[in-house]
Amino acid sequence: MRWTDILEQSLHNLFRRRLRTLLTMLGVVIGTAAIIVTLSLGAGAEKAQMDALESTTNLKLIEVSPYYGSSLAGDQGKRVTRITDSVISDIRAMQGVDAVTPMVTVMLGAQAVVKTGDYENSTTLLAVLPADFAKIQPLKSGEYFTGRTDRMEFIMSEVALLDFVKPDEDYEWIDAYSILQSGGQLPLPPISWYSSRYSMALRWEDWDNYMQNNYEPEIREMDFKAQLTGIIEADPNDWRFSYYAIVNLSWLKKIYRENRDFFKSQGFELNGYDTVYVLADTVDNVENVIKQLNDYGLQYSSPMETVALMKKQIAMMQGFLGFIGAISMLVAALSIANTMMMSIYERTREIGVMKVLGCTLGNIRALFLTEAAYIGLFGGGAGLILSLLLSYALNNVEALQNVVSSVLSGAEMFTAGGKTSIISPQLAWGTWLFVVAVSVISGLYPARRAMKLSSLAAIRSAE
Amino acid sequence: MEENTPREAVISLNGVSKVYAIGDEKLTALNNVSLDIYPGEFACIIGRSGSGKSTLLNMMAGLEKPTRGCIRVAGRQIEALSEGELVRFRLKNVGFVFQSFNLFAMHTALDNVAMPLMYKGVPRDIRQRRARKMLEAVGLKSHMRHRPGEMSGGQQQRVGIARALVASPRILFADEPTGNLDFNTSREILRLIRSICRERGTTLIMVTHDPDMAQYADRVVRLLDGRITENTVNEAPAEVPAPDMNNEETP
Repeated sequence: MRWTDILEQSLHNLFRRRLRTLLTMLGVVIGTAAIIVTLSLGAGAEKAQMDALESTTNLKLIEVSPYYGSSLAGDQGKRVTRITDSVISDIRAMQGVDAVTPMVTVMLGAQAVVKTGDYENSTTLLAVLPADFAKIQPLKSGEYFTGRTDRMEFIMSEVALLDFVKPDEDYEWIDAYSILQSGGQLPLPPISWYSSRYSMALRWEDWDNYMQNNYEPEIREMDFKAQLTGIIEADPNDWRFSYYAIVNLSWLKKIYRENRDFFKSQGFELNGYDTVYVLADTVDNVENVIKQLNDYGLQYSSPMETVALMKKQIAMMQGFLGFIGAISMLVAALSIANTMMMSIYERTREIGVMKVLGCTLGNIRALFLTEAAYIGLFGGGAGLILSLLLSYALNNVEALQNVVSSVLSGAEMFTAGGKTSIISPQLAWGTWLFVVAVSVISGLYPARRAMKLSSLAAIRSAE
Repeated sequence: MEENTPREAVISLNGVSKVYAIGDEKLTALNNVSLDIYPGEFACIIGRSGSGKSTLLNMMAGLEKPTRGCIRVAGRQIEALSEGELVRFRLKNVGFVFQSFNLFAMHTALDNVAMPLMYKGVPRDIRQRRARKMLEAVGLKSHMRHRPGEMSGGQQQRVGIARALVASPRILFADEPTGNLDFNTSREILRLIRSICRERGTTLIMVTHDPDMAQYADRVVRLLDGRITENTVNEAPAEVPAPDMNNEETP
């Protein structure tokens, strides 16, 4: 038989018993919709979680540190225990790396105080490479240093700007996090940020001279000219940059060279970096960069590890949801097999006649399998349409969203604006294909029975 | 006598027996039957109900396998063929006319006739053309679009004959083809089968319980209790009389 004839004859046979075909297909429609809708809820949850994670963290950012691991773990490959400038250039040369900067937190016995007018801000210095830092952290206003090293150029987050206070007034702590969460304005002090003149003092207590000072240590200061060049927008979730005065690493190196003895006495040495930030050019490249860092012998941590964990949890949830959908599909498959068996018993005589007339066994099998495939094709298609409608309803009717949120754990992940149900093309086509495959498999046994019917018995069956 | 003719038999049975096991009992349907049928013959197998005539026909058509003996049809040892091979063999060599017509109820006369050609993989336009010709040959030019339920028994059997012959088989098996028809229609159908087969040189093997049919056949085989009691060649078979016009069946 020609395949076009097989397609046509099978369709003809299906339409002969419309009601039964329709009922069987209904089972397939429900099964398909059950699979697609449940999996779409999982996809929606995944998207919501990813969005939440992406809004609070830069997934492309990898934190690198020297290899601290113990040698007991076995000596596999290279171990970099000190990150120098040459290591930084090696990292910069790695494939998929967009930016790399050391993060030098200047922890001193001395206190760093930024002053302007009557205001003072006790802070900590964080030195970075300007060009690379620019790629990691955008500014709200201003610029990333002018390149001058004769003064301390610094960038601050709005959260850090709140700490400009008058030392002689009572300090009032401002809960920046709560204000930002509720969408309020931060009460920044009235300083014209870019036109004011700043200085930075390293202030420490000199106990060597306390005898002359009534048992009080002498407060000593080392002053530097300073200038604010840029402001980072306040981000309540950021802990990396919000509480520092970010300065140019070249400037820090310069004053370190000029005051090496002082820094040493304060317990600070600049011979290798403890923390380096590496920015991958794309999220997809993060894994690649991590591998290169690992091969190079560095330790790292990346939010992608969290993402992987999260994805694993969501995959488990989706597996469970898909399992529920698959059960309804199994029921539908049984109903297909049952329908096909009934149809074969009804058509025993006809099948016998077909064999006597010269219809080959292969053709008989093909006819029945095609019939089963049609049920899957049409039922699956209708199920897909139903799923799209349900998905639309889930995404647009609040009452339904509330039901879903209460049924699935982690209800808060379905936040406003997010989609509860996401049907990707892969999910839609994949499920449809799966349903057709299941239908054909359900038709295998009935088709075998049809092939094995004795033509003689078949002809006589109705006599 | 037949033994002296140089022609080769198209169907040749040699010591064929068929035993059915029904519970513990054994029922011998055919007992050591040997029979040759030659190309173009109209062979009539006559016997009472239970004489084994249908079993004999089924075995010649490859629908049943003998318990013993061998069957050659169109040069092939058919008892040794697998079911798949038998289907292909029938598709090529054998046409079948049934007592109860066995038409496909949901298909038109034309589609019914074209069915064996479809199984053969003949393209639609060609098989429709051949089916149309065949229906014209059996006198159903005006009923091509009718479904079996819309036709009389005689007309349905004409469709059955057209379907059996559309693929030009060498052998046509007819199992009580007139069994469900009245006297006049029976004669009409018999005339039709006879003339078409003669015209095309098709070997016709007909099973019937009607001893009256013997006069029209080239060869008469009588069966009783699974044995051949008579195998005669009718040198001058009678022509089937034209049906009585007054009693002609109306659709």
